[in-house]
Amino acid sequence: MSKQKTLPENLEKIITDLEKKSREVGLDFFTTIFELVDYKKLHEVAAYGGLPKRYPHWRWGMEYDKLMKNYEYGLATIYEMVINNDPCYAYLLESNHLSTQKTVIAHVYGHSDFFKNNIWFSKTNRKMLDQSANNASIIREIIQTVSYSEVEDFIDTCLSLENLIDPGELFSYSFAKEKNRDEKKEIPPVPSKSYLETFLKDKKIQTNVEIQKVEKQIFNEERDILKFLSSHAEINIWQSKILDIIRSEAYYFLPQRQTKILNEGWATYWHSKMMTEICPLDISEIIDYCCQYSSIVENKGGHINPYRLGLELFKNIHKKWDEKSHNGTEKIFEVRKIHNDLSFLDNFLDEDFCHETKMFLYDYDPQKREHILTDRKFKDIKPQILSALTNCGWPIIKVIDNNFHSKGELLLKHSYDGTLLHQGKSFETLKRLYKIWKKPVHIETVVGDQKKILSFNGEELSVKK
Amino acid sequence: MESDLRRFKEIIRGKIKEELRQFISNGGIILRKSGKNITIPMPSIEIPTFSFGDEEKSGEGGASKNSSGNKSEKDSGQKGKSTGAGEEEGEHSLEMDVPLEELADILGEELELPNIRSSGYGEASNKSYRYTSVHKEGPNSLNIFRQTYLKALKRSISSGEYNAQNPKIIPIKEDRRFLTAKETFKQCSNAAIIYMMDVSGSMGDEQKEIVRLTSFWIDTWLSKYYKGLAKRYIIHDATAKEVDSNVFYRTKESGGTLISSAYKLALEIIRKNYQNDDWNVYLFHFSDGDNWSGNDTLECLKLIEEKMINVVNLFCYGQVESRYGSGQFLRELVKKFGESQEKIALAAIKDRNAIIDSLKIFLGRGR
Repeated sequence: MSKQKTLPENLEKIITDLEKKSREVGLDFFTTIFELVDYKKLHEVAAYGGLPKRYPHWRWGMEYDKLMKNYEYGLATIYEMVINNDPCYAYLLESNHLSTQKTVIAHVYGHSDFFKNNIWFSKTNRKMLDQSANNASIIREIIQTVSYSEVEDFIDTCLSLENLIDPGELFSYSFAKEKNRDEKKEIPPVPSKSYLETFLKDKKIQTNVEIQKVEKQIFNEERDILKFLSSHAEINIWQSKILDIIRSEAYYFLPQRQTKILNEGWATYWHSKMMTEICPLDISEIIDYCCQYSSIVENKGGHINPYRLGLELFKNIHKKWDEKSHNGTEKIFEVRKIHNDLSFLDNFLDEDFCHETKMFLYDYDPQKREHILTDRKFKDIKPQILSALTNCGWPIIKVIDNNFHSKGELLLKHSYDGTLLHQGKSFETLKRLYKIWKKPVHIETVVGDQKKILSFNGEELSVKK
Repeated sequence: MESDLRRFKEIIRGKIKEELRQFISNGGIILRKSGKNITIPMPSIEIPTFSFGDEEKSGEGGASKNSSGNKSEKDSGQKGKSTGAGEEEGEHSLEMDVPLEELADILGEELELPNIRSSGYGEASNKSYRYTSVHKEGPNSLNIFRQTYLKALKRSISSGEYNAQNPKIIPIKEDRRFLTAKETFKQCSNAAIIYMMDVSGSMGDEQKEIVRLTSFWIDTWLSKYYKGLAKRYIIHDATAKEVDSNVFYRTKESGGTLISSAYKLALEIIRKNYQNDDWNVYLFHFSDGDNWSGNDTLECLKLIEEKMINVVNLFCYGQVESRYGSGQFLRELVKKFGESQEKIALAAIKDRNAIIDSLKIFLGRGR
């Protein structure tokens, strides 16, 4: 971030202007710093999940490869990246047309306001830019003392469990705090003769590879499985450190997953308002703007477009509350503060909206070998959408016993709500969980229509009643 | 990022290497070739999580297996939902596009193949594409929005549809404009491969498949060294004729076998087209080795010794074992040339699993 390019003057002016106007309409955002980057840098940041410095791992490379291909084939364009951080950082694509830059800047202020005010973000780490860079250097350090392949293997293992966290924890501080137990033990560096240094370094390595002390208390149940493992599994301290880093980063990204529709809808709502009403674009820019706008809100096959759905809902709420009690604007500001996607849709997706926006369900017809429209009924559509948004579309899984079979085996429970777990992937995940727990691991779920326990005992997989 | 990208590519290479033997003996991979890339399914590098999903839908390798039409009723959790389109996060198994050149590198590393010392640098033309011209049809990703819009605008104004109060411009199919590629030709170094195959009655489908696979990998390897590859195909039973690649792999005849007929035709093709020193000529011959007569075999040996050796980089003979066992031809060749001739490589290909070994013999000469 130190080598920040100065922005061209005209862009500087646009930013100042839009910032002022955005504040005037009531948006309340962090100081937002814009940076112009080329497409390589932008896709790099996007592949890193938005944070410019991450620990080394191949999956960023995989993501980057994919994004770059999509870009090069003209299949997808990323215009900007915004980082939930104070100050908020936004990367703009250098090659964007000026009218696009304006739109994107207005869009960014919408996101920045959302990050600052939405309740689900309230406890996220606002110094994540620094934190993720620190995490990266901690992991690099561990790689120095252990080995690249061991660390990579362990990160792979942890990533399999990355989604086993508890959204309720977002309102506690536990995920933001760093565990200090080994740092505490560390003796402050004393100026030493050079021949002692290697010895002292060895000491440090030893503490890192030492197996951590495990708390063996009885507990009820725990949805934050990453936290549970970090304090209950018999793993090395370096492994526990990595687990904590992965967990804290997972919690940082969780609210973004929970509020995709709301967040994008909000930012789109404001950028369209800005560009067409509050500080309208020049006539010469309108066609480019419309073209881009329609590509943002168009329906693409295969998934809900969060930009469109969020935008339409906000417009709908604004209209309704204006008609009802003349406080539409106030209402949408409230909505952006207290909701996440699930509660947003649960509260505001009603039958009229569903019909107005022509929602439907579809399914694949294997006989015709094509997708067919199956249903337009509100009462069928809404539960589907809600269930897809529940727990970010992840299964709800808890640890329910850390002394299963009275042999210290680990038992997880999947709260079955009508959707089955993918068995093959579950088994693969169990294998990885075993690497951490080191004793047999089980998960209670439903297979077919019966309650079953899937297990891995270190050698073989099994499905039992 | 560069190191992460490098590591990712390394992992992919590693996986391909691990499964190279399987890839080589599995015909499926060849069907997934598109232009200069080959698509390889890579489910094994996905990071598994506890997640929802229907086992049936995600059978390895893709969809074709699952379209049997008895999808269970319990799929409701998987159904799409949408504002207009729908949501179905298709369970794509991860696929990687690997450039053929890279595949060749991996093959080379794994089989420890020496580099080819090419003997001539002739000139052949090689196609390349530049996206410079505009066409009325094409994929959406190449749509030129401005031109499309302009056409639509003009059309709507001239047809009187245009309403300045409510300017709606909706492009129709005729308005659309797309970028298209122009072919250009480049000069480059080159080689000619002549494949010869015995299609007599004893060569069955499995034998042809082995030939097809072997020649795919030969092509891949040689393409690494020669930008312009000319490929010619000869089939023979008691007589030989030149055919295209489709016919080459599909034809089945019932006649007997006179190998010399193919060799004569190959020499004729070389004389007419590739006589020039600029060409690197490769001859690959596949047969079950059941030549009709001893006299013909003698003639073949003579042709190889006196004529072929002088005009080719490499002459390879692969004897594919058929239902009726293996013939004498390989033995005769070994007796005559053995290991002494650098330009001659001989291999017995017992089954699919032996393809990899034959590749090593053929391409291990580094010629």
